[in-house]
Amino acid sequence: MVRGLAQHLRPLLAGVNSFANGQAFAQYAVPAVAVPKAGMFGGSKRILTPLSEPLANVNIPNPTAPKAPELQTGTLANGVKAAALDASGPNTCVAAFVGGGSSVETEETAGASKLLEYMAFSATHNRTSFRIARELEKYGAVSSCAAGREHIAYVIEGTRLQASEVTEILLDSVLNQKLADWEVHDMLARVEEDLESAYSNPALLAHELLHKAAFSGGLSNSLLPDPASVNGLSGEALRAFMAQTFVAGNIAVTGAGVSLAQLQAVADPLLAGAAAGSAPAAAKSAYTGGFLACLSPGAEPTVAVAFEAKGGLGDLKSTATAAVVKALLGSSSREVLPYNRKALDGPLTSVTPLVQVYKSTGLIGVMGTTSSGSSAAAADALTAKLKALASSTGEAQLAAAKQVALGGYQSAISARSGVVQDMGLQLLARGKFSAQEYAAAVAGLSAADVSKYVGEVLKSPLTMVAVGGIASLPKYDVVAGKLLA
Amino acid sequence: MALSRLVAPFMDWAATRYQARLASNLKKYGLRYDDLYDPMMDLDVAEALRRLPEDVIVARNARLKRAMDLSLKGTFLPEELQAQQTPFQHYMQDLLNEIKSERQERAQLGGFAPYQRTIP
Repeated sequence: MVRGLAQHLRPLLAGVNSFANGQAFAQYAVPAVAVPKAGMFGGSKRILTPLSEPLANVNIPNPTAPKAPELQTGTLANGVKAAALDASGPNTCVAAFVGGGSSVETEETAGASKLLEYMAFSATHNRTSFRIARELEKYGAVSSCAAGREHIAYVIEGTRLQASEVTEILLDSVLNQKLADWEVHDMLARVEEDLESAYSNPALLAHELLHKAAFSGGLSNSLLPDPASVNGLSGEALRAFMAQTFVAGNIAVTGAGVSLAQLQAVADPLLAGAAAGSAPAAAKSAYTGGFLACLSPGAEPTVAVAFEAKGGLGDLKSTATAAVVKALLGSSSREVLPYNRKALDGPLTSVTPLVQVYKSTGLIGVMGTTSSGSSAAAADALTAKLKALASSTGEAQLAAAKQVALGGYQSAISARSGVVQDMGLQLLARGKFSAQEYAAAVAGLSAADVSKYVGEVLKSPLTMVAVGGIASLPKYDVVAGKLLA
Repeated sequence: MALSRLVAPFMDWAATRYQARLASNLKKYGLRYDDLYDPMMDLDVAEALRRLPEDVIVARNARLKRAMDLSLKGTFLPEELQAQQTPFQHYMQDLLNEIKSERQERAQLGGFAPYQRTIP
């Protein structure tokens, strides 16, 4: 028993010895610059240089200015698109974007992308969920996943030292998911709970209804699955969805704070084993316009009106104009100092601009909340806001809106995670990434461009969506008729 | 180590005879080997039963009830049914091994156990 005890204590005691010798602190030693003074008892090693002067014989490295970030684009194994922004700094962000999202879901796989978002970074064929969580914790990395209507994004943020390890974990989590039936079953309870609370939020509900009413085709699939039907999802449905979308031609890998060579070194062997294939040919979404209302008697009435933003992500000029229009629409609701804030007059109690640009089409509109009973007037007020933009906007207003649009974009891509996500979206939608082109497009807009664009937008069929009590639902024909007048 | 290699032939002979005897005893009551695992004895078994699909659990419970009924009445399963039994068809072994290796991994990497037994 004593021997066993000694065996356990030995590693602890080893540290004590080196502590006593001062060896534990050897790593912190600074070469002492001593001026030895002869003396009877060995002399003094005291440093006589005053604190106001640099020490002789000590080499202080000159800090170099950080080098400008360099963008490298290329292809990885199996035709996977890649982009890397080699910016200096100690942190790294890597992301894997899988195209498709809720727009390629079928009736059997409805809700699969949302469930995959919840199941992200769970067990793979090589690692258990616990091991992935523990490894990322040890690396100081944070993982996240977001499912959208046209993509699913897996992102890991970590430090530059472990960029390769973290990229390997990312690709393992994306390509080799185990999706065990029991694990999916355990997760469904959480998904159901979150969906119940999401559907009781009128703004989120209005958002879902807007897409359902406005589009026909993939984009009309709801991103948030019905809470009642989500229990029907199993590992089989998820695997069917993944077989369709998680193919090499449909994946883009992006990184910030890491070089393309480093990405390639890690990702090529992993992606070589991925299923080869091209993006699924989803039914093209078209904008149709329409009206949907949801009765929720307790909620504050919410009304949203929207039109088509033609062009999509491939057309830079219209994306830029849409961003400027969003800034113009949101100018009244932007954060201001309390004593400067003007209360919104009219039936609306709050207004939020809605601008969503997808691959081939998009939505531009406004959402507003109102007091009960006046949602017909609210719908009119919202369309009036949009119509006001069709007439010419003032130069100062336009300049401010352009600055807001550009500033928002710049602040989004100044963060590692933001630029990585923008790179992934652009690679999937356009096949290439360029921030300068977009900035130039925004800067080059004139007031005439904006009014012409808004005029075109207003010509598309109206989409109107209302959430609230039955007494407060506006009539679609009435509002659409007033627009044409 | 060498001692175990010496007695290995004897152990093989004994193991075959033991397995045959165990199979005939299980067949008498219509049970499988995996039905004998007790979830209250080992929490890993409870976790495995939680993870197994519902139809497997229903079949297990049916076999256990049938065996309890036979034991109560002091009879065995009819001969023709005994011939159809598959006592060594496993449904839990792989899952149990997986759960035990997860427990080991947790101990090595350092983490909290998601399920623990408490003394009330």
